[in-house]
Amino acid sequence: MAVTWLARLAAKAPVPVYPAIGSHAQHAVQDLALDPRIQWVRSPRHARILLVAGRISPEFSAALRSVHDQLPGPSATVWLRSTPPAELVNEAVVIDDPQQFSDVAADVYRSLLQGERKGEPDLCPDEPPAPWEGLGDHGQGGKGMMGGKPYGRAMAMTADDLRDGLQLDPLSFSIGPFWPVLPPGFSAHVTLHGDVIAEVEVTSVPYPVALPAVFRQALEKPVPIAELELARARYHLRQLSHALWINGLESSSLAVLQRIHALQPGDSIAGLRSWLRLVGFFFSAGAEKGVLGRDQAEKIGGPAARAAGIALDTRQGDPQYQRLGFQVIYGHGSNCRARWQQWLDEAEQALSLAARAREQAIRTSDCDRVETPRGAMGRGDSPTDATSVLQELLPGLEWSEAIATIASLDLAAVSDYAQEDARW
Amino acid sequence: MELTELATLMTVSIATFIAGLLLIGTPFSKTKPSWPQRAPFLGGGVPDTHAWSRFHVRYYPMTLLLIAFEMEMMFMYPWAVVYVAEGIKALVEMGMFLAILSVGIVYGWREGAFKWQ
Repeated sequence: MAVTWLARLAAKAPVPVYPAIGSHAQHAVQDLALDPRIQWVRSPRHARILLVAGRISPEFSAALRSVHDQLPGPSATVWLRSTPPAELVNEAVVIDDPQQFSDVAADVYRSLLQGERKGEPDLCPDEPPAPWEGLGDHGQGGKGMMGGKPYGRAMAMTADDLRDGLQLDPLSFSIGPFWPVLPPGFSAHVTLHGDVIAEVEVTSVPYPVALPAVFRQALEKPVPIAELELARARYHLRQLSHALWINGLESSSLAVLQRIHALQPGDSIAGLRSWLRLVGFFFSAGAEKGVLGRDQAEKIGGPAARAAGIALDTRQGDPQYQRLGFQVIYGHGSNCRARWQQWLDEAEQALSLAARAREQAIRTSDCDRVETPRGAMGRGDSPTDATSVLQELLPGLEWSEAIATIASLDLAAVSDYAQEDARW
Repeated sequence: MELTELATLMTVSIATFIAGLLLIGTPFSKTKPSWPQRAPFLGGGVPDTHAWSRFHVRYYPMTLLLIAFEMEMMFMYPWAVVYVAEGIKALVEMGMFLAILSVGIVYGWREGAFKWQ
């Protein structure tokens, strides 16, 4: 009796959920963070429910199965606009509307804790990944420290090592598509020397990112500049919110997310800037690293290129923007801190342009090209994926610095779908 | 008698030792999580090798640090004996000594002596 009472009490706690994000689902999942009934955890080991949001590419189905099994039992999965695999179809919880998620998750959590719902079975076979069976054909076992893979290791020899020339145990692994810190769909094969990244090979590029519909509409007809610039400010603040979340500043991240939903033209972000300075965000790991070279910046385009000193912005050529007194913001620097400053400056500029444009009801006049927050876009020509830049940029950085660098760059291609499109 | 006390002590300690071993052993008597659950979390990725990596001991920089700050401690031992009798003057003098040595700490910090990688 006490146990059922306790289970009922536990069921009222925030549900620990681990998100496995598919294509076009990043925004919806970020917005769900504002719900106090859900607690996003950073590892599947802390989670009771796995949220699979958005369409998952077939090549990632094995990775999804392994993440699913890493949730300690009894666990459940909620499929948001996604198809469960055959083994789970019978009792799968499939929903279509992100707004329903917290109710459904709370209900599933309660039924798991009270024993009404059995946990889901493992999807991967229950076998050790590399059984040690003595000397074998595949190099298992062997003699002591010089034994074969995966349990033996070579003696320490002088070799190229980014730290100090004594090569000890490079650790290589592939970091997968279902880590919310990285862009969704991004997976890479990484070799570490200690904490320092020695080599990165991108094995899959992130899913194309969906921009707000207003940017595509601007290529067909003149749109109100106020709407365009408000969307731009929201986009950059969203990127900032993600960077804050990565740095562990979760309450600041949520505050920025709430701000995004209530954002109006003419709002000031000076308060946000001084708060970030106070909490030391501009001195966090990686602030001075992630320095882009000239061709890398050109390849990436958008705010990252402008921060690195390339003063190109499609809005310069639009007479309506010139009427509003638009000046290109550029030249902060090529490191992560410069890019964060660029986001803040461009968001602030966008909000003041939006306020002035709304008063005078001004529309864009250039329908050939539009400056999106990701880069310049034309009718047949949208920003392409620039993830290969990471292969030259990340080696030599420590892990935390590399993560901050990836978060400060926007490398995905632009999707044909709009953010508000419910088809995903 | 000391012998009875010793006998009691031995009995209690042996009993506690056995109880402690049983307590520690309880997680290992239940069924362990399955192999897929125990796989390392890499966001869906797979590891290539064992994650047990070797670290440098960095004998030379560690020895330098030891010598510097061990000698600082050596000076503090006789000071600690007479400090209460000598009063505030001794405290201030030791404070100046530590301040000079902390310049060394700051130098080492900026040179990366305290970083593990």
